Amino acid sequence: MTDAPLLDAGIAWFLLVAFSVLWIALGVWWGKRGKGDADDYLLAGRNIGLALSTATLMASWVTGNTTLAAPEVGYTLGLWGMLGYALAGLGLFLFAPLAIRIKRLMPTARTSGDFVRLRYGRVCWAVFLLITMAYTLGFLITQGMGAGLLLQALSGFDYRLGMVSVIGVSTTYTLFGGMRGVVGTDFIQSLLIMALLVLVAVLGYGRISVDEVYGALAAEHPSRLNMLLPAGLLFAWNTGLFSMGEVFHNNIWWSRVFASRPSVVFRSFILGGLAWTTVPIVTGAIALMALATNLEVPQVNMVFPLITAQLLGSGGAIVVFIIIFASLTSTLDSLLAASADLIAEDVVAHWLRPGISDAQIRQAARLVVVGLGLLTMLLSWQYFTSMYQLLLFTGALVASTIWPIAMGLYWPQANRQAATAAMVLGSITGLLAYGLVAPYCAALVSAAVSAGVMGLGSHWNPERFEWRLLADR
Amino acid sequence: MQIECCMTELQQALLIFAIGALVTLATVIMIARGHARWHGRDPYDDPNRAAGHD
Repeated sequence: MTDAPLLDAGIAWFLLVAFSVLWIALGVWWGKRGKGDADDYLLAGRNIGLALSTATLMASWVTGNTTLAAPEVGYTLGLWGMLGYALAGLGLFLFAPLAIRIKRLMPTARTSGDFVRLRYGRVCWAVFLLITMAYTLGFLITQGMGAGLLLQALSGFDYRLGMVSVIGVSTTYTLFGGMRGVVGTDFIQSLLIMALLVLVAVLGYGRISVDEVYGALAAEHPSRLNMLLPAGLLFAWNTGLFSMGEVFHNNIWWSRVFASRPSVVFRSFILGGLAWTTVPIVTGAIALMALATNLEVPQVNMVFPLITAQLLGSGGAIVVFIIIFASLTSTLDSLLAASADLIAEDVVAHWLRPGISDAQIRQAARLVVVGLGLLTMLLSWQYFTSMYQLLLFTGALVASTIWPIAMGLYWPQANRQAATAAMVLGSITGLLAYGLVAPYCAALVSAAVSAGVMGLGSHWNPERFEWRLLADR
Repeated sequence: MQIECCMTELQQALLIFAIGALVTLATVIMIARGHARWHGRDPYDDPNRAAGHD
């Protein structure tokens, strides 16, 4: 951690209060514009257009990890770090065709859990819920920790004050605005993130040219330019497969499919993926400047704030504050809304209290938003590991869902026992690889084992699934 | 582990890189075939079943 904060405490307080009030006001305002029923609260009335859909996908995928961990891996792994992290865009690109199929197959569904329950039965659904809950908690914790670290490094605030503030703001406007509020704020947040990142990159490379950065790296850090760097090779495909696991299974992305108009679903995932891919490349390129200028970086996941503040002075620290605050809140709101949707619909309405009304589902979702917000604060209370290391751990779990989800959407032969076994065995072997080989291999091993089990199991014992069972949730 | 006895660090990394590329490619092919299979069809009428074979 740096000794002196990058931002004056007064400016930091002003930014924190101003953006908190802005997000809450916008979220509540957008939330009041709907009809107020469960579909409106959970899925924004199922009528989102191209611009809002693209923006919410991009903003949700630009996480605190993208703005803090992408520069971290750019700094530690060089070119492979930048390019490898950018491969996480594969998740959004490859989900585009799946999204069309989901939208046409399940016009009234609300969650990814609806699909797994109807397609593979309750045993597989229970395994799936365990995986997605573990991932969601890990993801929420990394965002909470990122919030605390950001405000501590930038403003000198206590870690817990920053963490509680950011989670509190996201929870408040998600609670009152529902999905409509989340999508509306995501639109503003994505525009802010993109505009300010481009500004930082242009100003930064205006001061230090690409040639100078390349020359300094070649002379003093040649490993960062080495495309055969072993750690970089391990990292590359793991990121792509991890992102597929995250996007294919998680209700953040399924809820965006259900919330968007059928005509925009495919294009919004492609455009959202393209917009997102620029972010790790830009932030990674900025991190390379830190290496080229021999900037002292006491904690590697703070390399982006440090180099931006050094290049652009106090204005740079303000820009970083806004970018990361927008990134964290836009991801936290999406996670809270989509997880509340999943828990209210799958756990409460289909398990604990079958037959409850839409109004009760809406009320349950609101309670879950508050509960998850409080739980995230509690679990993030102590900063205990590198954010990215924690996230890689969850990669072992989510990558096991890639083949069961994709095969189950397209192929009637996809077998429910094979899907359950693929998720269980993929997760176990992925976790073993995380501990015994390298964290960077966890998602890759999990996806490989899961794909083998799913493919062979469905080939040997094909199911004859009747697609119309998916028509009504 | 057994693999560490006979391979250098770079060889291990290249092996894992190749496996990753293979799994990614297989996933992309599976999705592309699935998408082509259903493109322009009723989402519930399976083309294989309509043709009389599963």
